[in-house]
Amino acid sequence: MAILPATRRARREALEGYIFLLPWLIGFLLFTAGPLLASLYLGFTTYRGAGAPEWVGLANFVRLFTKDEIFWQSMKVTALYALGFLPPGMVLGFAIALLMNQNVKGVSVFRTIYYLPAVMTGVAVAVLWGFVFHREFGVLNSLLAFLNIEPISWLFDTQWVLVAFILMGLWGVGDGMIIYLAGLQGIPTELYDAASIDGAPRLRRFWNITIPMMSPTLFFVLVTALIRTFQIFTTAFIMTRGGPNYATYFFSLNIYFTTFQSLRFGYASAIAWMLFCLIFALTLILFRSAKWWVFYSGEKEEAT
Amino acid sequence: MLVKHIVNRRQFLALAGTTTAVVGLAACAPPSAAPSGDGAMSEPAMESASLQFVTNHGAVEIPFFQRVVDNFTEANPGVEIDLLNVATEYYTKINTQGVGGDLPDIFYTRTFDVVPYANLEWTINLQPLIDRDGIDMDDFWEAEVTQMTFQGDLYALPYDFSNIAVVYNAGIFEEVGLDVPSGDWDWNGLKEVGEALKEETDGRQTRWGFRAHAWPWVVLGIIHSNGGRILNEDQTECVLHSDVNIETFQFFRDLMTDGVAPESGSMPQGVDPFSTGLLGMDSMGSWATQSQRERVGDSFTFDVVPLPYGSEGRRAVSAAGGAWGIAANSEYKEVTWEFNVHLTSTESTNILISEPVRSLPGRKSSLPAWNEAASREDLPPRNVEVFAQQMEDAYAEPFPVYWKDLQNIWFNRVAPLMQGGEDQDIGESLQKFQDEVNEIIAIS
Amino acid sequence: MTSDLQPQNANQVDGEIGRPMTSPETFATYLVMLGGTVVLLIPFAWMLSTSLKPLDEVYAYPIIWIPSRLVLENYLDVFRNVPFGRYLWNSTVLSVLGIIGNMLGSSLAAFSFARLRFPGRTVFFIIMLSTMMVPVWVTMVPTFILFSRLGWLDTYLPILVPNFFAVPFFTFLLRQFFMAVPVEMEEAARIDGCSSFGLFWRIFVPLSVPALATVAIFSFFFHWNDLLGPLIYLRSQLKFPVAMGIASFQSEQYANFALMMAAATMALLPMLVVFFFTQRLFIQGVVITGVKG
Repeated sequence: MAILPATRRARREALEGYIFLLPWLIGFLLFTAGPLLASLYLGFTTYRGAGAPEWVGLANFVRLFTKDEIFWQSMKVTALYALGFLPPGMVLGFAIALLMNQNVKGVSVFRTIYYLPAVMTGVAVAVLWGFVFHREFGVLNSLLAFLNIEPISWLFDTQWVLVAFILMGLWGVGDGMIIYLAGLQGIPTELYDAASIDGAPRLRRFWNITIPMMSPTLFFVLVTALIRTFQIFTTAFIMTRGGPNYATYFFSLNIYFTTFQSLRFGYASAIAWMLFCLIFALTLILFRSAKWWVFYSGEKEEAT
Repeated sequence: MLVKHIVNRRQFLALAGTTTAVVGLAACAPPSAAPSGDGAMSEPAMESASLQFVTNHGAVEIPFFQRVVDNFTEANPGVEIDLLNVATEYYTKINTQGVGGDLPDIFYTRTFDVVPYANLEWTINLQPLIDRDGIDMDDFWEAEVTQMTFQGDLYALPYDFSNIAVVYNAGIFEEVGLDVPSGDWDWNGLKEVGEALKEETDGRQTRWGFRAHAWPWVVLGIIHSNGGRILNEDQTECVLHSDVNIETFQFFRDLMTDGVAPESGSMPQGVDPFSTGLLGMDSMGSWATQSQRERVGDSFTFDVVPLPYGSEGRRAVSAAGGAWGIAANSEYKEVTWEFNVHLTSTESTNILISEPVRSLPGRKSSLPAWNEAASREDLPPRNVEVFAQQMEDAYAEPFPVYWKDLQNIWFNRVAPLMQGGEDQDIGESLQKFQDEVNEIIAIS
Repeated sequence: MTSDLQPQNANQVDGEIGRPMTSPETFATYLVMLGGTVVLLIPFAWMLSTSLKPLDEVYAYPIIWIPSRLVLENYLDVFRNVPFGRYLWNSTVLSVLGIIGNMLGSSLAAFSFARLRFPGRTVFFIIMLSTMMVPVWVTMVPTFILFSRLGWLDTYLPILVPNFFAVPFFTFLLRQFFMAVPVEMEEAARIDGCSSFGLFWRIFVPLSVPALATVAIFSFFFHWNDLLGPLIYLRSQLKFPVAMGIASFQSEQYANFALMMAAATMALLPMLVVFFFTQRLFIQGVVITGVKG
């Protein structure tokens, strides 16, 4: 598919393209490609951490699909979590950024506070959730008691624990704020000025100017959030370690435990590469959808 | 038909390092520390050696380790020992280094790790050295020596050994007008006492009687004392799903439904229900004496009593401990061995465990110092020798190679039965656990 | 024919709509902001309060928010137990070098992906994104072996060097921003005889200050909090960063939340200060006010 550029100028641009790309190209070949290939290779072996990896062909993958119920459980809870978290997470994250973009006194202090979740120590956050979700001592159940709702064991009930995780995820969406804020600065003010003169209502200006102009940023946040959400790890590792009854045994936990507790490096690689395929397919769909809604001011004839 | 293709270790390492070769750096890279032969001890004597020593403890314990290291390096000038403490994510580090053939010369392993690491040949067989130097193994706890043994040989020297007893809040017993427990009791006796300790305020329960730990190595003992088992004798099959075991877990569920034990795990993280008066009795590890004192402060008096007898009229006390293994990739195995002997000597054990009242010492000869230090200043728990006494009932069987898998399945299938939350069917959960563990055994 | 770059005054615009807000709106804005603040500040408050408590009040229920006496000693104890000053310095070094590396490598590659056409661009871009999709746990061991063979263990090299070679997350982020720069600006500069590097350095970099500041901030927080890299590659206690220092107060058998939170508070403060004082970089960046030709 790589056709040699026709004109002299195009050839020059291509050459420059590769030169600018060198930092990534070298880094990829040096530090990333080898370990990636090694882990892919291990997926076809029964490597346990000593001796020689034994090639078993597709045996690991056959086992995943036919015998390993926990694998499917990981798939299910990871997908459910992503489905429950991503849409409200995107909306809330953008809303917070718009709020933090308001021109009011003291907003810089608020911005700092809203960024706290991204930099807090895990232990302090875990303690917070302990007090929010605990059956006997939790704030949430105390609030629900006003509505005459029976206390729920949020973190110990397979029915509710994913809801608790989605709430915890939403608490931390502020970390996308600075990306959005940076994006919002790139919108030329005269676009709004012109719209104001036209008397366009606020909501319409939001839809017609802010959203399209922010679409590259939104697209970035969406893609990276998707990749990160499917790899959710830390919260589950600290709060539930995958339980109860594998209700929060997300893919990354499964992979971590299989790698570092079971010392089943081969099998863990097989799981990891299945997760890769899943994320890859979804990302590809997002990229295909981009041409319908992502608008680049700098777009030339060729689109990505 | 399955075509088996075997790549040797060197080829694998080469593959992992492929990209290095691409840019021709391989030539200047130092050779990886490949496991050297069969533990042949043929390096120059103590003149100069530089050892890596890695522990998995809290920062406050490190000065004690440094003292022990200094004692050794003073007596052996020329030996340099780099002490490193990794408190969290210890296994992520050790297991990565293990695969890379780059383990520290001497490092901390728990009873759960000794067998897997020996099985992977990450650690060396210490038996020849023990026999050669005539190390007196009788001074170590028999149960712990059993747990450190793989295929008949010892693979680590013991550091500490832990078990669980029942700790009680004497203030609450006085308040409800109940005699403090004597330790001569069975589980129903404990439940009865617990009933009397609970309290309600404004229709909400504000105090519970007792809390059990749901860790598999702790519950293992209770199961045994009731005549049940998790694994069969030769550890080739999981047998958790049995009537006696269902009864054991039914007992713990009843504790919760009767309000004796708090539901949904323990308490929120960051709350210690015992020191804050929410529990009349709690499970307490032998390692927690010092931290329990710090937490309780002078709020109330507390003490420890032995675990209840099981339905068979005896105790089977779970025990697990820490120990020191020597890496197969160590360049200085002989010096490391000398240091390991020093590290586990009575003198060092006194410095590391007994004087600062950490967990129970791995050496019996260090016990007097431990008992003395623990009862110095007349601080609770006065009855601290309970932990050592319980060792007589220690249940001794090695942990199998697949213990960590078992533990992981346990936390998902069995621990919830002891934590409340939702009512899983006990028999069904035990059956699932059994099936999943048997799956693991089949591929181990 | 020049593109006109002006520093923008934050007061001119409230981002969404270029006009000042009326007071009921301001009031509502504050109300919403304050509501969120309470929820977000609770763990911070717990952390601060715990770091100043005597140990017998740390684990109490209900939470003792205001300690019976302030134990500043906890902060000193952190330094007595671990070389925390050294750790702070180490983290500073790691962060500064990490930021420089991330900004350099990622911006060059991002410019290539965004504005230069060459065969294989899409394929390379997909490969780059793909590397973010493989969980770190399965590449960790091979990566460790790689750095071990390079003889880089117990140095900062395995933690720092890869950051100079275009990190996918930052590259993708900057690519998005570079792609949003109007094509007229590029063409104008090209006609002026600007080389690709001149274009990158004189047009795209100044125009993307907010985006580059975002990369710097993200990079700083990442390196400041990074536990995994140092955990795996370092073996000298004196080379540890703050994250390892904080973690050292919680082991399997013994946790001291008071010291841990004292350490965590000291680690958090630099991040908050940096964030507070640098935020105008991405809030009040340089914007394009128009192209004159």
